[in-house]
Amino acid sequence: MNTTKKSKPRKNPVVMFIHKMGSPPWFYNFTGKFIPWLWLIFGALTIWGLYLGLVKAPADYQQGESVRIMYLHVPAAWMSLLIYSAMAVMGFIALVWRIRIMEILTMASAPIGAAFTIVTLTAGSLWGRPTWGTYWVWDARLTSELVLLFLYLGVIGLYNSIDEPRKAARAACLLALVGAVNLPIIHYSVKWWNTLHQGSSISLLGGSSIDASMLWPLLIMAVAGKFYYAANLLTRARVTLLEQDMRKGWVREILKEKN
Amino acid sequence: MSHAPFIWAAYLIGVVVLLWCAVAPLVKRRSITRDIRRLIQIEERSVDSNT
Repeated sequence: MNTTKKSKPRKNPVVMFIHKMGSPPWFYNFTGKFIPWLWLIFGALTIWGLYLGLVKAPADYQQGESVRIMYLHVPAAWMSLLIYSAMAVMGFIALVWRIRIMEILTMASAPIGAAFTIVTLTAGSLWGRPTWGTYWVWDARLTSELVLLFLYLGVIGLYNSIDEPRKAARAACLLALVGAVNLPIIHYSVKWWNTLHQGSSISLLGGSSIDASMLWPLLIMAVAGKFYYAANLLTRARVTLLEQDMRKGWVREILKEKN
Repeated sequence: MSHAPFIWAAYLIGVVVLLWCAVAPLVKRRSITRDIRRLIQIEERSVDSNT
């Protein structure tokens, strides 16, 4: 006699979580709980990072006080690359598995990435004037970062030019994916070409040529940028869900609950 | 050359751009919520007039 019991196959909690996140009402309610905390952490980290960078950190022995622009410019530049990378990954998932939340997240990332790229370019330009003597040069790093801004604007423009939101998102996801070829060009531009823009001062594998008093505010501001992105992304995704599903029952139930 | 105007200008532009980017979805949410409430009212009125 066979005594072994057939147990139900256990579902992987990670897979279950991903499935749940694919449900618009669940995503809307779940993410809504985190957004205020993400903004709060972002605010606290920004105040701490700016205090260390603008008050405590010393002026640079070559750049003088203008080095303080670095605490805005460098984290913004990292965010511009990170957000585009995230867009390429989410866009790929959206195209292959046709997950609507992924399409929405990819499209919601584009304006945030564009904002960080504008901050990178303007802060860099304002740093360049006292340091290099010019606001702009057609240097490989600066030009490829400008191309990144055009890619973000292209994704936003393409998404808004097609009436049917899912078709629009798929077309824009494809553009985001193709545009990812610019990311290694931006990163390695200072190595591949002879550029006016300085090389990297920070290395993950050690050998950073930056003093700890300057490194810490830079890293804190970089982490703050991640929280800004997460909070803004989820806020935008929730708004898009409300807009797309305004005729569905779950949206009306949520609005009734708020009354 | 004083560096202060360049530093303040960089941070001012940064704050304005990132603040605008954070506030824009909140403004949009308010207008969408208003649209949905109006839609519900129109539907409720049409149901009332039919019964």
